[in-house]
Amino acid sequence: MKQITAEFFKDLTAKVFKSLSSKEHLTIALKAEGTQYLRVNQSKVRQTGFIEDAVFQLNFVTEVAEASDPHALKRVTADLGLSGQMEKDLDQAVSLLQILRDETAYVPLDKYATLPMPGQSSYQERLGKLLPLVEVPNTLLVTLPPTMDLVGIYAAGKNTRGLVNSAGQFHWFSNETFSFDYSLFSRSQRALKATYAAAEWSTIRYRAQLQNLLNQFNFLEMTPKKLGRGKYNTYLAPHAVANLLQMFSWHGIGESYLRQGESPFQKVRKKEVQFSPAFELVEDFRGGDLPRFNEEGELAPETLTLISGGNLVNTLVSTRTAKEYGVPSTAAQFGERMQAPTMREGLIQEKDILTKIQNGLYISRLHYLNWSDKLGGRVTGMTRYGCFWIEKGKLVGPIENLRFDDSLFHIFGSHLIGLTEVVESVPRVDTYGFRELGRTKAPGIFVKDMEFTL
Amino acid sequence: MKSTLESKLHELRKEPEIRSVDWIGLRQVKENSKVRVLRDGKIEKYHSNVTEGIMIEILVNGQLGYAATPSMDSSSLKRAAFQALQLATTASDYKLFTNRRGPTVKSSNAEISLPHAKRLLEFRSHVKMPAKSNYEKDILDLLTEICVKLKCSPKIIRTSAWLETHDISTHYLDMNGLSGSQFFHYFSSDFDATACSSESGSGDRVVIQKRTDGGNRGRSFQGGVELLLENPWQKQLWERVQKVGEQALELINAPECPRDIRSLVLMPDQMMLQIHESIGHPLELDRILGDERNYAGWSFVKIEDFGKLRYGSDLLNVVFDPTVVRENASYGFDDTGWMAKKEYLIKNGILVRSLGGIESQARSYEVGIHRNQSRSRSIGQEASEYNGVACTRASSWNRPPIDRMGNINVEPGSSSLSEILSSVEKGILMETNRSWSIDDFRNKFQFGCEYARLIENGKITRTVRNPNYRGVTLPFWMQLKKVGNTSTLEMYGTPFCGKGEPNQAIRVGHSSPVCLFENVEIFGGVS
Repeated sequence: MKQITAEFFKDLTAKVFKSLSSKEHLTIALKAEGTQYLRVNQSKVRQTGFIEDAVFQLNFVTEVAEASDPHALKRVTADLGLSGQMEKDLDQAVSLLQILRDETAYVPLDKYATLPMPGQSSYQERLGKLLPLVEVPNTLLVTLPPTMDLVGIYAAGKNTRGLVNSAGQFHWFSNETFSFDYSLFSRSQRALKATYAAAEWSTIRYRAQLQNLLNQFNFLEMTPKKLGRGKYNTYLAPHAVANLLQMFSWHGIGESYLRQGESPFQKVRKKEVQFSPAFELVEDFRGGDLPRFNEEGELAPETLTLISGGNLVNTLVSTRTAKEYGVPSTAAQFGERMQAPTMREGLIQEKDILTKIQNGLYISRLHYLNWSDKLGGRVTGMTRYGCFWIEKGKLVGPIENLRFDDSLFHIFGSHLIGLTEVVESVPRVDTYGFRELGRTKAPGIFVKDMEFTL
Repeated sequence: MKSTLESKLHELRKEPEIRSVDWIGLRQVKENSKVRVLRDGKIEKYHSNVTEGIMIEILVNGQLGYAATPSMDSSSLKRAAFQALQLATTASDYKLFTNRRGPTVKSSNAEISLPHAKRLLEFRSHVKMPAKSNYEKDILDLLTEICVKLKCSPKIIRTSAWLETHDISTHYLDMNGLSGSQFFHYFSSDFDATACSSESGSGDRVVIQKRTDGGNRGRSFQGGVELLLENPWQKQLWERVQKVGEQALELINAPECPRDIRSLVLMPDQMMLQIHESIGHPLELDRILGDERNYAGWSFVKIEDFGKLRYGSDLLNVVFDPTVVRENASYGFDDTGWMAKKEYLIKNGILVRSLGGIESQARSYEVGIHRNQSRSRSIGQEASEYNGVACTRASSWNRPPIDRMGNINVEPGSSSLSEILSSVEKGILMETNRSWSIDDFRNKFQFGCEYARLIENGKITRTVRNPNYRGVTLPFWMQLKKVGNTSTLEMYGTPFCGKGEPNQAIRVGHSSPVCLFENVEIFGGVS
């Protein structure tokens, strides 16, 4: 498949738009990638491959003026896989458009559909410096000692998002990046984890990161500490905080979820609970590592403060939600999930972390989080990777993994007693469908009396 | 499509480098889907999906390489094939194990033969009314009516109804002539009602509860829209709509689930997740071999446990069954071309078989697990001596196949629901999953349900809200004390079983009777 370029996208969509009548409006979004994957187990290659994929996402809106509503609209959408060949893709797109027209005959009016608007366009294309395909296994694995048990996934390639509408708007975002998300396992089956993600590969940086992990291995081999259920003073490292912040995107910070009785944060809006004044959460697109346009072509602000001073300052509002509830749009994606959450740092220096914990838990990461009582804001999950017991400010040993079950209103609210001054960027590495873009930036946090259950 | 695939393979093998590989296989997938979502009786989403692509796998020097493309033209396929070849060749110096494909798969310890002729059986979903445009108006009208009927009180603040249909054809062909086609029709429906206890701004404490039809997409099957538009399914649908609306209202007036230890009766729409997380995933052989440790984790199950480990009480019998009509993950053969058949995974509480396909089995032989097995086997002849099943599947054309759950079902026992309930002195009956979490070795779990009723002295008493329970896998299954008979059996499924790197979500099925467990820790919520 040929790579989908901006010119191909413009050209193909212009031809599709020619077939529209005056009452028909169309927005076409593009998702495309060409990704090399290398899956590693026991420091050897488990699977190796290359995936190319491209999809048009058509949003077809028709004016169907009625006596009762001169602005009545109908809306149907479709995803169409692309081949990268102009003639074939044009043929399929035009055929699909006809199917969408036929569907418009029987779908009901859509009160909250919006017409595509002209507006600010955007263009960003960034090349990376990726490892050549054939060099990846050797570069990743050649210097690993035979006793090292490394498991992970390397993903690299070009990621493209585009949007064009029949009102003339055009957005294009394309970047080349890689990520190597991996775990190192000790003989006692404990592990440490790291992610190396960037646009330019550096073998020196990769090996330095690997060595840094190896240097911490002796902590894993210390006598493990078995803890019972109870409340513990807990330090959550930036990755663990990023894990928790993802829960804010699960029927949480989106305006539609608050309005429809699905979100725990309606309690914050109603001032029934408050977050800690130290907890500030912003949707921050600065850095340009992900696109700011949503499925309707609106451009999100560079920064949007969501939580500040203990209160819910803004929610994420999609174009559709804005129309439904008569509130300003924040150009959020349809699912109203955070794309670039950034939590403000605190004052505690890295060298003082163990002293600050004094007696309690050091948690590197969390695993398999879910709501245990969504509307109460309570979350459950497991500790995972490099979690330790701290006594009198000294690391005593690793712990057997524990389950926690506690409220976000405690963790980021009444029980939040400190934040580190260091903030880490945790990239998204999930690959359901397409490689995800985006990342979370978070400091480490100190929580008193965090509840652990099993 | 099959003859097209043959001509594509033929074209590829004209290239000398491709002709000289140890093995090459093609898997072509075409999908047409539609999602219809209504909220409060108004259209929210009406969405189609059309996708097609080919996965090419090439084996060279014991390493498999893959390349997937949506482009069917000759030059794109050649480029993909050469990519797969190049990647396999350069990775082979670092291969984890020596992979083999073909009629006979050899490892250092055994020879495994695939049970096939040149042609695999064709598989087709059982369907009466495939999703077609002439049914769409009826479907939309029905979904609208569901929303209307769910709003049985002003306290119902939100309703939604949803239907998803998928038509998928897959075609498999390898250089040895092994070929087959499968035609799937999937159906997935859901509806829900959210109730609120008081008006906003009234000053009263507000309780909000949501009730769904079988959990998140739990009603996922193979079939057509007859499952919505025709009886007996439509009659059952309206009964469930009434139940969901009424129970949402019950929940906002119900007390919190108590916090204590008591007997737990699980309905099939919660057993689904219990089976999925604490039996299905731990038994995936590639997970046991360590492949998932960077993502979803490992398993407490060891290779040497098969045939020996007591997994649960004598009442626990679990099967991998790809033959159940309409169950979500029924199929004829897996994505390595192995014919699929029913096998026991757990029999009378003893773990007997893994969810491991041909590749994982060969790997486990290399590890030397089957030391007591004799050296030559044909899977078709002596399948029971293999700790595996035909379960290697990919979510679509754009992912490589890995060991997956299929239909993982608990076999019914002998107790009626009334016998189960009357045997409980202090207990709780929970239904419909809404939350799931388990550790990375598949031991410590916690589940939440939508709806529960207390059982006191053998009788159902009060409804409680926010019911949750937690436990540890093996002790939990050891506490299985009664298993419902076929009158309590229900079938569910999900389209969202996630696994693998790169990630892939696949369809699975779970049928189960009602089950009783003793001495389980339960607790409620804070809302």
